[in-house]
Amino acid sequence: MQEIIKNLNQELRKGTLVLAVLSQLKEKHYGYSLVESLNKKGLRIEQNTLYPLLRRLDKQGLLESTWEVVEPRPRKYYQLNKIGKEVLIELSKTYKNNYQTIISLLKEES
Amino acid sequence: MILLERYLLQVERYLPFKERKDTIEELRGLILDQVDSLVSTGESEEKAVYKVLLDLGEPKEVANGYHEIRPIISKELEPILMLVLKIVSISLPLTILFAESLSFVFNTSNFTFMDFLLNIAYNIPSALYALVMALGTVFIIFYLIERFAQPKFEFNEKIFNPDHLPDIPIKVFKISLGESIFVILITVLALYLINYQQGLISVYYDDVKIPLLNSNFDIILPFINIGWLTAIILHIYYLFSRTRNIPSKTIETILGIYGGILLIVLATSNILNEVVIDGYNLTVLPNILKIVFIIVGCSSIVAKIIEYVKMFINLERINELDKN
Repeated sequence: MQEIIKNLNQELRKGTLVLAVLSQLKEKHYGYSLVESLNKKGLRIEQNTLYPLLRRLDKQGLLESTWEVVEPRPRKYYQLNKIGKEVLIELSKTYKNNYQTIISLLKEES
Repeated sequence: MILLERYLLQVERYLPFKERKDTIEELRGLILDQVDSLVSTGESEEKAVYKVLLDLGEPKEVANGYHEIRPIISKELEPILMLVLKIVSISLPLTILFAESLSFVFNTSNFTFMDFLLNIAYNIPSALYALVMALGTVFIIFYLIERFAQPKFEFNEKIFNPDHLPDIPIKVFKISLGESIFVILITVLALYLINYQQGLISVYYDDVKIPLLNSNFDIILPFINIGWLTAIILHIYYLFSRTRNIPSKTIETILGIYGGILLIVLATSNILNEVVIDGYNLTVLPNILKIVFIIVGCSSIVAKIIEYVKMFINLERINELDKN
């Protein structure tokens, strides 16, 4: 049963991670600064998950990525582009609606 | 830092070729950022690298995260792939066993029913081998279509409107599943016969067997193969579309005319052997066959042209179809 709960928890988390990452990329971030930003706000995210996710969002055309040489080393910075911003707005709306629905459903249960 | 380079080298091994350099550079930066952060809390650099790498996990797992998970065959193509696989799985072994049994019956003078069954049993491994090869080939073809012809299978993201559903095909465009399957089966069988069991096309008399086709036939064979393979592809398409349309009808007409011309070429070329049995010259048999070829060839050409012209006479309905 623990295994099932673990898997379902992972599935639940997967979708929300994209939203969380997009929400932070309204401002320019590089990988580690994004991890820290999310950590500070209470969202622990594995680097294994985050870095490929950034790459995927970039490929999907939601982000603008640039290499910048800032001491001590070059870093790849990511930020939402126009499409990314629109996607974030739409996803936020959907999430909020779903959240309200689920909360009311769970209230009915209890 | 040698440990870091050793780690990155292992990650690189499993990364997609195109993005290796960029990904490794980015990953190096990300790891070093974390190392710096740990070093600033008093950790030694060596221990910090060790800790960060331990946290990141197996290089292979890290690299796997960068691979795009994409199905080998998309949902749009999967049903048609499954249908083709089913048809091949049933038809190919049956065709091979049938052809081999025919060959056995015609080539063996005295045999018992048990011999016949044993012959079938002996041929089962080769039928299964051919099946595995064919399934692999079909899968490779579908993979190539998926990989390089993908845009053709992408459906436009339009708002669904039931009014825009295609009209029920008019009679001339209708095609049944059975018709396509039948054509595919017969054509596969015919292809197998003329390519691998040419000797079966013979005149049989007592224990004498005179092959009807001579070596000249091999010159025309590739043209026949092209025509029949096109017919198979066309009917596989029909299995998917479940209706004919003007381009496919055009191909059908061209194929019909092509077939007719081939039959006339076959009739007028020296492809048939002389048949002499017990001293009697029975060349009349190949001659009858030649006349049949000419009649069927000419009829096929005329019939196909008439059918094609008739289709265009019913312009009103065709225009309605075009609107959809």
